[in-house]
Amino acid sequence: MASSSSSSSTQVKKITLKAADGKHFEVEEPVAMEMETVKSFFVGNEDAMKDMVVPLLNVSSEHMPAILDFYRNHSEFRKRTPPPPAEEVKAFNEAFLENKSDEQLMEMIMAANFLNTKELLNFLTEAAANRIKNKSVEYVRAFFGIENDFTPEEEARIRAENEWAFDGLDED
Amino acid sequence: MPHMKKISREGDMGKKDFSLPDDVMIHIFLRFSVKDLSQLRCVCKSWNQLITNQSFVESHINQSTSKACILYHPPGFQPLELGLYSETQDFSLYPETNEFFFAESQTQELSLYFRTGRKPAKIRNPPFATELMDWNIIGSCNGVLCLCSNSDRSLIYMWNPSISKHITLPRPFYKYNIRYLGFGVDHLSGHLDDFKVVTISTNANAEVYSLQKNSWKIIPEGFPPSIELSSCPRDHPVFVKGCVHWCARVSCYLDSKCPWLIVSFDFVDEVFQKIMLPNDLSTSDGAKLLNVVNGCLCVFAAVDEVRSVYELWVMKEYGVVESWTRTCIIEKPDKYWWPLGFTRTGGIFAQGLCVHGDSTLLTYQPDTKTFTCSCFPLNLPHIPIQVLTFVESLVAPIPHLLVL
Repeated sequence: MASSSSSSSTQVKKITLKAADGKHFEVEEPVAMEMETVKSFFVGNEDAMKDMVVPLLNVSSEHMPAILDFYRNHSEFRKRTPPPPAEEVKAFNEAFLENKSDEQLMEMIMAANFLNTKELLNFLTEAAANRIKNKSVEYVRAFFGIENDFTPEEEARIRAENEWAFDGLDED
Repeated sequence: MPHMKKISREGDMGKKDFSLPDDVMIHIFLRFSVKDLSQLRCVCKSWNQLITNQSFVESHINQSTSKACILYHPPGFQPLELGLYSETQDFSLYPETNEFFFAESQTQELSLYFRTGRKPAKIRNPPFATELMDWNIIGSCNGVLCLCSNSDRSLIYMWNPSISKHITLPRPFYKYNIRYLGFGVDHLSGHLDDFKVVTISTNANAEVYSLQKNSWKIIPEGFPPSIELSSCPRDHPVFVKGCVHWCARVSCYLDSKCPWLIVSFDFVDEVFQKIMLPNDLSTSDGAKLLNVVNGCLCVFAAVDEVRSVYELWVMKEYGVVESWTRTCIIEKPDKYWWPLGFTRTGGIFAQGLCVHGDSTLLTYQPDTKTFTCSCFPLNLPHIPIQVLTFVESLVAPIPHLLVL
């Protein structure tokens, strides 16, 4: 199980995950089990052997190394006593997001949602929220690639209704 | 279960279209304030629907409850002053680090300033500000404040300052001689906006207003006979467990011997009820101030006439008289101070004199038994201020029948 000790002398079991584009990743079992989607593949499924390949339909291989890195580090943070200093966690999280484009961030959110892992999803959605905080409506539309489907009259009305909320925006 | 919707990648590759599923968008939206969300409603139709959807409004208020602000104001006085006050964990130690929301009245304008981060943003004045010169806050519930004019208590408003929406209530049938008001929500209706207001007039007539019906209804049996509600200006109606509560006394000839009790109005069944106080409390003559702590009805009871000592009694199990428990005794050497309510971190707000002699908002820590002065001058030191818990919300005080 996920809680089994990984520091024992026996070799850590590996689970093979298959990304959407067919690329295989060998992952230590406790790390793989951090993903609910992978866990539910095995739990209650007597026929599933640990050497079966788990297909991850919505996760591109481009993001797999970063995602696995996140799980490895954060599960280590959680296990460590005393807990790691907040700066260490923060530094890791900041480095994780560095150089990630908005598009990459969105794709990773989709992946985290598919893998059904609360911690990663919370972390990434917060990052997305921070990127659009205090930005104009136009900026947000561009960020998410959303088309404005209001008619000009509808948009004028809804903007007038919420006009008071538009004070103090940052520059795009 | 994981959402199986795939990233939409139709059309040309250069155009990005992420189409995050609704449940992921909700995850992101829940991180925003009401002000941010009001802007995001203008992005597209589906976002507007998602943000105004009842279940989202509910999720948003549930996670905002942990960030509830303390709202204070001096009732029935000019200049109008309303402050929203949000504390960080160490409020009493580092008051200057708190986000502080302050409102003031200049040229009779009622406005709220929310200081979030660097930029103060002004909330639009409610259109009724000029009509309401001397106002009372009857209550705060699900992000909506209920206010009335002090000189004409049949003039009642519900206002959500976060989304700048309000309603002026129709006048009740008995519009004269309204003496007491109570505000709350029918918590069993399943709607966060099923707000109700009850009025009690000097001749014991009672009426209840339902926002959803946008109409008043007379309570046929009226207010219970032989009971006088407390007229202490420091005592405010308290809404908890679906009922609004007042301190009261059984009418009798010898004023000092009339037993105290609590009268409640149940917004679900629309009936008045009596809640007994512990014997010691009901017969002691000291002032009694109702409040709520951790979802329980409680009473600050002055032990002596000079009001230097208060006991805090908590009704641990609602409606069970035997569950009244004295949880703390608060003593301050000087006279004329009184408890106002609770901080979010287990402290108690009080109004009284600070070490340097100014009247101010104080916080009391029950574990260390110490008072701390806030850097919070009360411009009107002798006017009792009111402290309420306020939660930012998207709940609109609008009758459903008007939305349809």
